[in-house]
Amino acid sequence: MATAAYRDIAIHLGVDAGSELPAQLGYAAALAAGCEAHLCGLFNRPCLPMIRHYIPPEVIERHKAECERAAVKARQLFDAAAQAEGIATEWYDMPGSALETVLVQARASDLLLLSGVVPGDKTARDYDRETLADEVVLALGRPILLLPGAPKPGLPKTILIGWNGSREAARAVHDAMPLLQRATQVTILCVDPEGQRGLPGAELARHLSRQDVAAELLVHAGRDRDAGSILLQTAQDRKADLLVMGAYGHGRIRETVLGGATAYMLGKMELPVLFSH
Amino acid sequence: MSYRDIVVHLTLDPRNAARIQLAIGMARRFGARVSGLYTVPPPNVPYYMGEYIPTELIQKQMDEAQTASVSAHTEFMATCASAGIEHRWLSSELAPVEALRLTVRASDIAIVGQPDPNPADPASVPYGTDVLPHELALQAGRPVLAVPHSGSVTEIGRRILVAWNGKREATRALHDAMPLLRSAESVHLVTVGPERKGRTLLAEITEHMQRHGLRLETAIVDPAGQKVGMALMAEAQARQADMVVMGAFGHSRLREMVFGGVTETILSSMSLPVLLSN
Repeated sequence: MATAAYRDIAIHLGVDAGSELPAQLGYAAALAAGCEAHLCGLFNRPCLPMIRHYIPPEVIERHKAECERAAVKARQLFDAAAQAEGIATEWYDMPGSALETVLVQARASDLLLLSGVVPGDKTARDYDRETLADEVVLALGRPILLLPGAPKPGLPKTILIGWNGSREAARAVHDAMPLLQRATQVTILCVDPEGQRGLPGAELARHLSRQDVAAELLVHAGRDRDAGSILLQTAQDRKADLLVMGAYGHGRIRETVLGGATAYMLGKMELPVLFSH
Repeated sequence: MSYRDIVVHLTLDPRNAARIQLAIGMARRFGARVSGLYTVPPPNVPYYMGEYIPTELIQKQMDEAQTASVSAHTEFMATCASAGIEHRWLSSELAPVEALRLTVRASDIAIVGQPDPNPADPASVPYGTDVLPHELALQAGRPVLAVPHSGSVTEIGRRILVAWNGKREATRALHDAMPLLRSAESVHLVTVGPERKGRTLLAEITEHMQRHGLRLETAIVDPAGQKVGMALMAEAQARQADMVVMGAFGHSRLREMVFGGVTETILSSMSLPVLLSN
């Protein structure tokens, strides 16, 4: 029986939304419907950087118009996705930096969805999105769900937990509880270098069973630095539709946590990742 | 989310009984198991003994520690059994923070003691417990409930004061306390002014909590020249709160100077159980 619940799910929308936005909004709406949660759209209109204290008026006008177009389009897509799922929504349209607006609003929610990078899409704006995810996950105090590409909608059925006994992993597991309790298959993956730590993850499996989550434990012999690729390989083998893991305080989440080579793979798999710090 | 696994810290100190009682009360309410984790204090050799340490002294201390551990074990097992609570005993020779953090990460909440704010003899403070609540809250990734060093604590969580400043740590504390908040009669979200960003979020948080089935009373308190921590404790008393929920701030220099002081003030002056989260 599920005792944990998300009641407020937020999704951040920027002016740089890509072609995958409708799919991501569809995912968000389906998730909110599955959890019986409210969906909150956080749209932000970035400020223009000042160039020697002067910005030509036509540049300001163009920027404003661009923001307005993006806002209208995002709102339309958001409303359409919400209507399709019949969920209650809220819409915030805020000026200022994405980080600040997201932090202020999403602390009053249970989960924040952010769009990640699509493989092969190497525009400068992707860098901003990725940086935003890194900064947000450290400063928010709520879990984030990173959506690479266009994930298939619906509550995740097969969830893979990357467990290393860290504080961040503990956060991620407990923050993911509403999803874990609604999943049909949960696997805890521990990468254990030399089998020194007894049976890592056994305590967690027992704990999860008290939270009504029947989890299977998988201990993989391997080095810590290969943990990312082992995790993704396992996710692929098991056809996981959600990865749950801790986000650590150093560097870009996908590159340092999962390893540079695996970032591409993650994007290609269109596998959402719940990160917590 | 509910608390199903509660870890209670036990060591060589007179407050084990109070913590066990609190753990049992919560276990009963949430249908949880209680894990008693006993940390064995290492031999404590006074510095003035110099390099010569008589083996008898160490032996005597180890014997005492052994006796204390046996009696703590007996007390814990008997109390939990007679309360009809599922329980288990764990023991570790690591320092309390190191021993607890691993177990707590695979649990829902930890119950530890407030360090004695005015120890008559600093050497009598149980090993490693002086930094326990704050340090553990920073390292566990789970909420830590600190039990006051003196006074009796019977039932908690009827009237809860949540210290709110709109920051990450406060956000964590609020959400980590959810099982307690849901079973409370009243929840008071208190911001000690002068508030800026904290205030703009009060309405959103209230609405967010409403969706979780909770009604909040919110208040903005003028510290009137007092330390923020003292103002919070006074407000808790004025509202007849029986516990406080707050963020544990730490480590980054600037944040430590600004907010860490609040955590420390509360931890040294608390007369109510305090739930800390980071």
